[in-house]
Amino acid sequence: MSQKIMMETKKLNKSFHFPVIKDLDFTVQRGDLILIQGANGCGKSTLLKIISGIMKPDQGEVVFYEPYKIGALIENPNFIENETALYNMKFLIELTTTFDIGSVQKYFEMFNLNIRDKTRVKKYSVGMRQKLGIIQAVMEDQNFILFDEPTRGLDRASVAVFENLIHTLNKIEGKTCIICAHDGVQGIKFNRILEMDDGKLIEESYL
Amino acid sequence: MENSLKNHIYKYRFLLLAVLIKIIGAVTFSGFSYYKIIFSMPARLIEQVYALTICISESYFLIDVLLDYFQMENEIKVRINKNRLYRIYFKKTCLAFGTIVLIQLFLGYFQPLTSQTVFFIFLYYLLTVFAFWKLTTFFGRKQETILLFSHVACEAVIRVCFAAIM
Repeated sequence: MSQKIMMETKKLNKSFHFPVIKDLDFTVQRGDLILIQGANGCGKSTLLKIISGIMKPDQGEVVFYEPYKIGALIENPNFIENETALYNMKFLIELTTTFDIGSVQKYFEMFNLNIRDKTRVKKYSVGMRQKLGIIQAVMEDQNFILFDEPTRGLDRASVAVFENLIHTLNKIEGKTCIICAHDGVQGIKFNRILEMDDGKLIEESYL
Repeated sequence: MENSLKNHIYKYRFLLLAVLIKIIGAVTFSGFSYYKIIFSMPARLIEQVYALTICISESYFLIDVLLDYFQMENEIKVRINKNRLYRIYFKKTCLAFGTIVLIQLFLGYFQPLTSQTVFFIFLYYLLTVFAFWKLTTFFGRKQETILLFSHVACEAVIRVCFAAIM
């Protein structure tokens, strides 16, 4: 796999009532599978939000050097509560392209969900919502995928499915993935593990 | 009832409510009961409450049209840029306004009102909608419907009471 810099953050700074991210420089190479760890409130989610464009940094910038399509599951996934899962997925896909049920169905089957289910999303359990959150982050062939605590609320079987999915996306399809997690991702072989501390990222291991 | 039909009714519940109130208004304001009611209350109060209720239900229709986009803001922002999102907001708002204006053509309700009354209604309506909006952030979407319907029910009770007194 060729190692080209895909994304870079330059001197990122973000404060709320206190500084969360301080002069953060961070590069991601194409095909990286990165785990970011850190204590609660250390700024992992904030970093992902800034990278995905949901939040603006106070200072600094995020630069992409290659064509990219971001898929993200950050914090709790939001849905149109009074509609079905299929309606929600269709709604999101149609923002950018035309909807093809086949591309979504395989992910629903993978996570043991019924795409034709008429149940409204508000009736879904935490785990089912999380599965939908994962699906929406990968269903449009995104090549830069960000997950924040992706295994929250998932049972063991679903965690295994998620790990297989990441393996397929990264090792086989060559997509770049960044995952922030405390646990539940032991089955994934990351090529970089980073620790977020005091608003900065410290490289713990690089394979 | 078929699920999709139920969903559609749910989606357009505020618009349906506005139409229903207009039909009720069209009947009562032209009948003898209207004269009975109007003499029992301060001038134009009935029209004000009536128009206000319609305004609230219509504004909730507008809020509802955009609510899905507000709820999924993070997921949308990841996919499209901010300008495109604003264009969607604008388009949706225009379509919703268009729908409301179309209904006005069939069932006008500002007819018995002076421009001064319209101004005060608008002011009162803005405050009420703001209060409703704030309340719904605490109570959620289902309670929002209950709040509005209870508002309408209160108005109906006031009308009936005054008509009965007279």
